[in-house]
Formats: sequence, C-alpha cells, structure tokens
Amino acid sequence: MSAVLLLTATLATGAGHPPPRAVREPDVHVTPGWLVSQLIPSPGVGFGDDGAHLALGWQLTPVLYSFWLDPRLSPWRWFVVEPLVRQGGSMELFLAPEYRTVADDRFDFRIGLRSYFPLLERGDVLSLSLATAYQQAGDTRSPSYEAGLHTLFGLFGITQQYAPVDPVRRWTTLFKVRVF
Amino acid sequence: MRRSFALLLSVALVLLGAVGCEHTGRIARFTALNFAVLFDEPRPVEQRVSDPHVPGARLSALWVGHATVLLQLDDRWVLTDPVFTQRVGQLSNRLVEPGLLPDQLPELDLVLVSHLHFDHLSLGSLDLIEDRIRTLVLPEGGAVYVPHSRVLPVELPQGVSFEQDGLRITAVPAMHNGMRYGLDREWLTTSYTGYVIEYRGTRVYFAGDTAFRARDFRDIGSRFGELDLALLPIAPIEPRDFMHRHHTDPDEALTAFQLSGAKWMLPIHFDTFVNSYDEFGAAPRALEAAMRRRDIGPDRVTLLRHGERRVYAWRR
Repeated sequence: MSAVLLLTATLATGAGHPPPRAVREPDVHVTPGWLVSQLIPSPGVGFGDDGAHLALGWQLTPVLYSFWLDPRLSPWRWFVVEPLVRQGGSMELFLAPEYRTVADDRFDFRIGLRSYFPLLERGDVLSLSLATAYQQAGDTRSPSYEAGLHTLFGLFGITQQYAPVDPVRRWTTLFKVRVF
Repeated sequence: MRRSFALLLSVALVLLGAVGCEHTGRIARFTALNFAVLFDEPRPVEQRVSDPHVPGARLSALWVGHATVLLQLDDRWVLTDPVFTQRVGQLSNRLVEPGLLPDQLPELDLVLVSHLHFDHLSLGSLDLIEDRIRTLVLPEGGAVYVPHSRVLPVELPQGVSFEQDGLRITAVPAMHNGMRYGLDREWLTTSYTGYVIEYRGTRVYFAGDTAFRARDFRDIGSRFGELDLALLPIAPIEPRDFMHRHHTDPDEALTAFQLSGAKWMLPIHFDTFVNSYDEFGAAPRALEAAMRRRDIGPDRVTLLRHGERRVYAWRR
C-alpha cells in the first residue's frame, strides 16, 4: 500500500512539455569501472533486541524512472544510472543485499521502491530519499521503511532503515557510498 | 575550527599522495589544495559595474570570472559558462567574488555551456539566472545533466549551427572531455565544444576548455572569416604533462589566437577556482611574459580583472 502511495506521489510531481528539438540519448551501459564500483559496500550499524551490530550494504538498481529529466530523453535506466538522473528526481526498484555481524542469518536482503527528491542544485548537492521494501533474513520477514539524505551528487549519504517485524534488525543506519 | 580541520585534511591528503602512485598523488594534491581554501572568503571585486549595458557598443565583454563572460553584441546579450556560486562541485571554493551579480544581468538572449564539468555547468548558477535565459545552448549529450529546466535546452553537436533572431551560433571543435561524474566518460565522448557567435557582422569565438590542436584554431579562423574576439583559456598550466591533454597554457593560447586570426583576445579560465597546481596570479604572469616574447601588446590581448569590461567596437 505504501509503495503504491509512494509511486502515485512520485508520478504526480512529474512535469512534461513538448520537445522542440532533438537531443542525444546517452548510451549508458555497463562498464568494467561501473562493475568494480558496485562492489564498494556502505558501512553502518544496526540495532535490535540483541543489541548493536555492524552492517555492510550493497545496492543494485534493476530499473529506474526519472521524473524530471528533459522530456525528450528516455526516463528509464537499467542498472547503470547517472548520479544526476537518480538524485534529480526518480523512482527506482532496488535490491539491497546486506551483511550483519549478528549470531544467525548474517546475510539478508531488501527489495523495494525508493524515490529521490532533489533539495539543492537539482539534487547534485543534496537530495532526499524515501523507500519502502520487503526484507528477508532467513525465515524472518518484515516490511522495511527507509529515509535518507544524499550529498556530493549521491556519492555519500546516510539512510535510516526501520524493520518493525524483525527484532534483531529493527533499526539500521547506513553511511551510503554509491558510485552510479 | 573549520580551517584547522581543512588544514589537517590537506596535510593528510598530501601525505597520502606522497606514498601513493603518481595519479593518486595528483588527485590527492588537487584535493588538498582545494581543502586548504575551502572555507576562505573570496577576494572582493573592487569595482563592480552596476549596469553592464554600454550604450553604443557593438562589441563589449565583461569578465565575470573563470569561463563566465557577458558579451554585448549590439542589442543582444550572450553569457558563456555561467558560474556564480560560491563553490563548484561542492569542494572547489571560489577565490574571487563573481565580477557581476546574477541580479545585475540583463535578459540573456543566449547562454552557452561549453561542457559538463562542474566549473562550466553549474546547476546552482542556472537556478539563479534561469528566469533571465531565453535560450540555453549545450554541447551534444548535455541535456541529460540539466533536469528541471524551465527552458528546454538546445544541444549543438560540433559543426552544427543554430540561429535565433539574427544571432547565429556554431559549435566548433575543441579538444577536451565530456564527462561530469567520471564513469560517464565512457559514453559522453562528444559532450564538449567551442562556439562561434555571429551577429550583424561581429564574430566572437568562445573556446570553452580545450587543449592545443593547431588545425582546430586555423580551421575556425578560415571558416568564419575575420574573427573579432577570441575568448581563450590560459590555465590550468601545471602539472603540464597531464594538463596539456586538456588545456592550453598561456603560450599555446597566444598561438591559438594568432592561428585563429582574431583581432582581439580575452584570456579566461584562471584565478577563480583551484583546478591545478598553479599559484594565484601565475597564469596572467606567464601570459604577459609570452606576450612580451611575441611582441603582442595589451591593445590586442587584454587581461581583465574580475568584473572588468572592455568595449572592443562601437556602432558606426
């Protein structure tokens, strides 16, 4: 339900006007540099009934829709997303594997929808993100909610996650590092 | 406190560079030089004009700073690479205040962006002036990095012209790179350009950022006939073995000026942001020395201070 509301709010803010002239569609594609950069983890700390633990997070964007891009350009991106296309206003389907120093089920994952809203310099300097996801760690399943702030064209950020049904991973703060 | 932190970080980066490879060392040194001045107040502009309009001028240029030049071509206004913000790329602090404040700008017929680097495409600056822009011209592939635009930009691939109410703009060759965020260099392979602006017989060449390639300057000169004014970058200079691939130094800029056959040259792209090892003032000093060696006088190559303008031609 929250995902539907988030999607509706995101699309409602999009603007469109007729394109007067041609522009060049960027040939965005997977490169070796991009592949290596996706291995960089975002460190963080989690809290739950068992106390605090360390966390490492990664992220993958199977598909993203940019809602403030020049209307003559395709708003869709697959896996590789230029920072300003994401931070300038977008909604993405994301997959986030995570590793935690907890007793059991050290690996978990979240899959969900995240929206970015530009705050300063069209998102290049500062943007806000809101996300809702499904989280699974072993047999423990929970909804997950997330809010984040991102700076330096999305290279660095901080996100706060809340998984109300997971007693071990209820709160997680990640210091995001993201290259494309 | 903030300055102490910046200095400590700078020292740490220099040490990191000293133990790292050459490339890492350069990045560390650039970053350290920027951190060292990150919280400094920019030098003030002492004599800022209140109204850039010069009645009767056929061609005048006001150097706002870096590659930002306000051109008056008779009754038309053109602004190049607008940057008015305190910082570019968040980490490069302005060394000198802008020579003109955004609210002093006239209605701009054209705003030209040469490429997508932070010190040339400043989204914060576009936010400040967008309600005064009639047409925004970008290099090929540039529109992707101008979201939320009130005016839909015009992309001009090199060699292509665009005309609006008698103002004719042609994208001309440059030798630089089109990336903004690093990894995008793989697909933004043509997103940089120079421009030639023509209006009522006046011709101005804005080189953007470019390395030296003699045939480009010669071809531009021969294609457009007699150029009146060439806006040519004279920095960054050092480290030269790296910078020569992307940037002309003062001596090369003078050669470019002579090859283009322009009547006058306005040096740009120096003493505004830290983007090299150059000390403040090094580029204009090197230019003046090169001018003496070539016997080129200040009547042809005028070094303007931030906020200073020169009228090159009057209406007859």
